[in-house]
Amino acid sequence: MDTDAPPAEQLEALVRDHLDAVYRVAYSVVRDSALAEDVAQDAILKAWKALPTFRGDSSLRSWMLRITHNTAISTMRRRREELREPDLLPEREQGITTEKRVVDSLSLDAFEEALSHLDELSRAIVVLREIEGMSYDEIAETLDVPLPTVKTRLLRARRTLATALEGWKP
Amino acid sequence: MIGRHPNRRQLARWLDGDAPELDDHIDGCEKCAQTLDALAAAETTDLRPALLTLLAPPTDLEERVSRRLAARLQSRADAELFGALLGVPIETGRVVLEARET
Ligand SMILES: [Zn+2]
Repeated sequence: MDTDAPPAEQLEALVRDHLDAVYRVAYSVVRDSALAEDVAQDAILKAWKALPTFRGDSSLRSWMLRITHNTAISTMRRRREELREPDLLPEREQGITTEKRVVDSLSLDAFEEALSHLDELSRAIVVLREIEGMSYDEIAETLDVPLPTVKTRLLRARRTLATALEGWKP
Repeated sequence: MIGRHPNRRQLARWLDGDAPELDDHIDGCEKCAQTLDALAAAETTDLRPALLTLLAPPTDLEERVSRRLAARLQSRADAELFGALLGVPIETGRVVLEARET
């Protein structure tokens, strides 16, 4: 280790405290399980290396997820350039989780379909709000977008998703 | 603010995704955000369970990511050590190591 690298325990702490949220934000952008995992790993390593520059202006979580979102966006951009054909991008995740197998419902398919048709920004906003429970201000800061954008995209996305979800019960 | 505020009927259409021409205005308008808030106040569906199901991380995610991160740190440490032994910078150490591995 070089002497100026943060201690390895801090890397473990980032994984322990933030990996799930990091994965979900990554997935909301890239929509592929394996790719989301790569992005999560890159983002956590980046954040760990940059920890000495973290000034505490925002919460560590918000900072971590901002790095994740940027990493996911640039990963997608790179892949689009590589493929030069957006249609070749993965449409859905490959790995099926246990939880997902239990849920067998047309409505959830409709929900997934609706989710996949939202723009990347709206998906990230939905995840940060509905799963991570962030405030509008935190989301605006994390994703570096204006506050009204957060509010209005969320409203529209919620409406779209709620419609798709009608009839589904977990 | 760009142009006039859309009326309620236009905002309702936008909420349904049918008025993309309003995107630019609405993206930056606090007043319209408030109006939309009121329009959508009746919306109370809990999206969380469905989102958690769809976005569930794989069960072995933490284990796998930890292992891969450890491997990356290890290869970095190896490169540094190798560089130090040869008295060259870490990048050179890494290049030499990678050349040996392939
Ligand atoms: Zn307006």
